[in-house]
Order: sequence, then structure tokens, then C-alpha cells
Amino acid sequence: MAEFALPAHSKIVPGKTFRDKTNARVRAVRIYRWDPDRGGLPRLDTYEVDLKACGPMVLDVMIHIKNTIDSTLTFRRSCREGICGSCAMNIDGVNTLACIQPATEIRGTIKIYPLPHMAVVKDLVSDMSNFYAQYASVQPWLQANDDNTPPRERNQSEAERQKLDGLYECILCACCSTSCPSYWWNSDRYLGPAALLQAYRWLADSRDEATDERLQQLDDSFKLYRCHTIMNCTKTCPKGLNPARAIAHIKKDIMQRNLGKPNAAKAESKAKPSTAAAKS
Amino acid sequence: MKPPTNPQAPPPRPTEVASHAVGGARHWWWQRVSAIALVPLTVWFVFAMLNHIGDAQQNAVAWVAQPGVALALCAYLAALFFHSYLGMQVIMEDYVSSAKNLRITLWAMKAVHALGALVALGSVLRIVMQ
Repeated sequence: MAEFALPAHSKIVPGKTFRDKTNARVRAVRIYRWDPDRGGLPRLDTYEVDLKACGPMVLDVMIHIKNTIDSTLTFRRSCREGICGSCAMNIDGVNTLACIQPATEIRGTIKIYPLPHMAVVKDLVSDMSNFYAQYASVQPWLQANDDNTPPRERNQSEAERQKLDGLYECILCACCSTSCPSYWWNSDRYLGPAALLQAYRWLADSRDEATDERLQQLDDSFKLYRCHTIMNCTKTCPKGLNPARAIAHIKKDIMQRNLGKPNAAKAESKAKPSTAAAKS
Repeated sequence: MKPPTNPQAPPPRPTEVASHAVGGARHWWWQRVSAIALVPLTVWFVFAMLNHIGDAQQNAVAWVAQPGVALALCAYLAALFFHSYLGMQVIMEDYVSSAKNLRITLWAMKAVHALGALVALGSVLRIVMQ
């Protein structure tokens, strides 16, 4: 019934060490490796890298390894500037983006693992299907009553737009969700901090009119209330966002909805609809 | 509007056990209400117990028998068992993943807490009735 040890196929064994042939001062980089075609147990390979020979970030070090030492090393990367979220991984015990984590800030061996508690596709590539399905389940798009469709764009006041600051910057890298113990144990039912931050991004949007339906969807002991304010999400977010606060806001909004009070985030915009109309 | 579906991924499992007991927002609310109630009640209870260290049994019984004390004691015990059950429910929901096992565990948890509350409150009432 209860599992106290890692499943047999998850035990990590020592792997190969790639020694540096030059006499440069090197740093050891230890990376989790697993190849579905070879099967077997995952292993930790060690690469000796001259940090002077590559760029400053951990991603630069990994690209250097792939280009010059071991071309089989597999990882996702794209923008190399912290805006695509592809290179999210566990570096030195912290979920972060390899492209914005300076290698020199890490003391000793640089240890790189895939995102915790996600199924591994290969090496540092994890299976994000469930994560994306959860994102889709919060219906992350503008929902408005068709009868109220304005002739031109939907205007927002500066104050209304500011409510989206700290929410819209999320790049869905999954660092937060995969750092959350509640998400580790119940990721099949708990939506996790990333999807909940996105849910709140639409709850806080003055143009969205589906607040009631959204809150009703979220009032669920597993989807939302598995959050026990552990705050790992906020601590690890490479973009400096605060998913824990967004979740707290959702809980508050649900309470206010249940008590029959108008939504605080929306009350302001609903009270003076003429302002937006007058501007256009 | 239907969300776009990823053919590879099953959507999150429906929360078949969520409505079993106090669920969602109600659970969250009552956990906080009972927690706030427990703050003064626990402080009062601990100080009262410290006062009665080494006291004779009949003095303690006489103390409980006062209407005000009995009322506060009943409130404390009710809040304590209720809060304890709500907390245990969260822990079980976190760690028991099979729906069937969770139902059984929650039922057992409820029975244990109901029994505990019954014995504790019954004892206070018995002293008051004497």
C-alpha cells in the first residue's frame, strides 16, 4: 500500500566521467542521464569543464558539453534569455532556468537533474503533458458575454492593467509546480501553483466575465486546497513571481463569492463602466 | 467553450472523493475558524491546568462543575476535536491516494474523533449533572 522507497527503476547509479585533457582549471558538472532506448537505471555522468571556455550561464556550460564533449546529452533550450521556459531544470538543488543561472554562483560541483517528480522522457527532458493539460483546464483565455462585445478593443484603466502585473509574466516553465510537495504527491488532481497563478491571472482581468464560473470550478478540495502555503513555488520562481499569493487571492475570492460579496478585483471596473466607454 | 485537448495527456482526474466530507472552501473556512477559537481557549486551558497541579481530585471536579468553566471546557473540547479531524482529513487526502482507502480512512478518522469528543464532552456533562 504505502511506498517508502524509490521504485527500483528510479535508483540512480554512477555513470561515466569525462576527464579534461588540457591542463585548464576545471569544474566538475554532474548531470542526470537516462536514455529510453538503452533502458536500465538512470546514471550520473561527470564532465570536467573549463568554465573559461564557455559562456557564463549553466546553459552555456551544457551547450559547451554537448558541442565538444558528449553530443548525446539531451535537454530542452530555446531563447537563452529566460523568456521561453524551456530549460527549466533542477540545478544545485533548486528548480530554475539554466539560461539565467550563472555557473560561477554555484560552489563546487554543478549538479543538474531534471525537474523533480516528473516522468523523464530522456536525460533532462521531462514529460509536461499533464502540466499543460492542467493549464488548459483553467481555460486560460478571455471569456466575455458575446452580447457585450464592444465595437473596438476592450479598454482597461491603468489600475485595472496593474492588477495583472506579477501574473502575466509567468512563462509556464513548471519550476514552481515541480518544487511543490503537494504537487509531487497529488499532481493528478492538484492543479499546482503554475496553473493556479494562471487561473488567477484571468480572475484578476477586468475584461473577463467568467469569474463566477472560474471560482466555482476551483472550489475543490483537490484542485485548489492541496495548497498548504509551503511557499516553495514563490521561493523557486526564476521570474520572481509569487504564485502562493495568487493562490491566497483565489481562496479569498471564493470565500467572498460564497458569502455573497462582490469580487473586490472586479467591483471597481463594474462600478464605472462609463469610463472605458468614454475613452474609446 | 471547450479547452483544447492534448491527445497524449489525460485531463486531471475528477475529484471523486472531494465532496466526501466538508470539502473545498467550507473545509478551509472551518479550519481557520476553529484555529482562531483554539488560540484563547488553549491558553486558558493550559493556565488552568497549571493552576491545578497537585490539587486534590474533588477540587478539580468542583472547578469543572462551575457553569462558566464547564461551558468553556465544552467549547475547547469541541473546537479541539473538530480542528483535529479537519487537520487529519487534510493529511489523509494528501497521502492516501486510492479513493477507496481514503474513504475508509476518513470514516475511521471520523469515528475516532466522534468517540473522543463524546467521551470528553460526556465526562464534563457528567460532572456538571452530579
